[in-house]
Amino acid sequence: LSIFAGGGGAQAYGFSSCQDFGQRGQDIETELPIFLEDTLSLESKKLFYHFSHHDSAGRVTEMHKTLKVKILIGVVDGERIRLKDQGAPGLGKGASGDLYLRIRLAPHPLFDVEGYNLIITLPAAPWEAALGGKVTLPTLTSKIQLMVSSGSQSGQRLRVKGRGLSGKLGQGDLYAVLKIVMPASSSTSVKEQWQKLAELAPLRFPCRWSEAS
Amino acid sequence: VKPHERYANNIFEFYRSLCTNRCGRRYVFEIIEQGIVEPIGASSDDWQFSPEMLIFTRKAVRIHRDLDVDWAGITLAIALLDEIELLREQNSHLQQRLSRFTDV
Repeated sequence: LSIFAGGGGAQAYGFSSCQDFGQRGQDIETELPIFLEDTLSLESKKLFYHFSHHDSAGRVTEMHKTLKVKILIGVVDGERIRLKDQGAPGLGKGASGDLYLRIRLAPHPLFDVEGYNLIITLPAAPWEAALGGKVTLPTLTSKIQLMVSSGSQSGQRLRVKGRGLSGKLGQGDLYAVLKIVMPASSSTSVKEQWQKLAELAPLRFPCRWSEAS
Repeated sequence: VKPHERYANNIFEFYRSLCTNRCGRRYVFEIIEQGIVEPIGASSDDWQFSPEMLIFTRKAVRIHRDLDVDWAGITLAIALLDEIELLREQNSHLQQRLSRFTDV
């Protein structure tokens, strides 16, 4: 994992006009992108960061540091964590500054995040929504069998308790949002079946222009 | 939300981190006095400051010093900037969720 803030490095903050405390090292602020899976893991993340350091003679050196960072359970996107004394070194006997990491949850190919809940779009065939049945649903760590009720609607959210992210006060949930997908193409015989279905199970939409008037 | 003890600054660290000299100390005092930053804890000995409070104060002092804006104006400006950032992030997340739902 490589952490370089846009444009080449972490940002160093301090008050250069404050002469009295000029010996303390500057604080460093940088982002720490983590995968959703990392929030469930107890393993440490390796962090590389670099910054410009001005020594007492006014020379500027580029410093590179590596740290192992333990991500505590319950971190959220945008949260800042402070690592004491891991910023720029002080001048003379001055203490080092601190390192401030801003947690960034990397986008996931399947899951979106809403607080500690995860959201996944679950494609379903029209007959699966109509008849119901079991479907396989990926979670962040494994797969589960999810029961879709008969007569489910597109956009309906199905809750899977406790399969979200780990929160400070408990486990979030996983929500599967049903997305009903039509078959790509229909043969004449399939169209005839749809036509029969349309006659057997007519559907009216009061909000539609043609039927409202 | 109580700052996590592992990540929080006490008042000494908060001062130190803001590189307090006479002017810095005055700024910090004014910011706390006016309730712009509200540390957690009953007395100043117990005060804890979250990393967000430190970043906020640093930003506020810089705006106050460089642009000569009063504290009320700074609070409003930072609140609005944070709100814009939050809305942009929310918008981006919602766009992402919508595209997952609408893209075939």
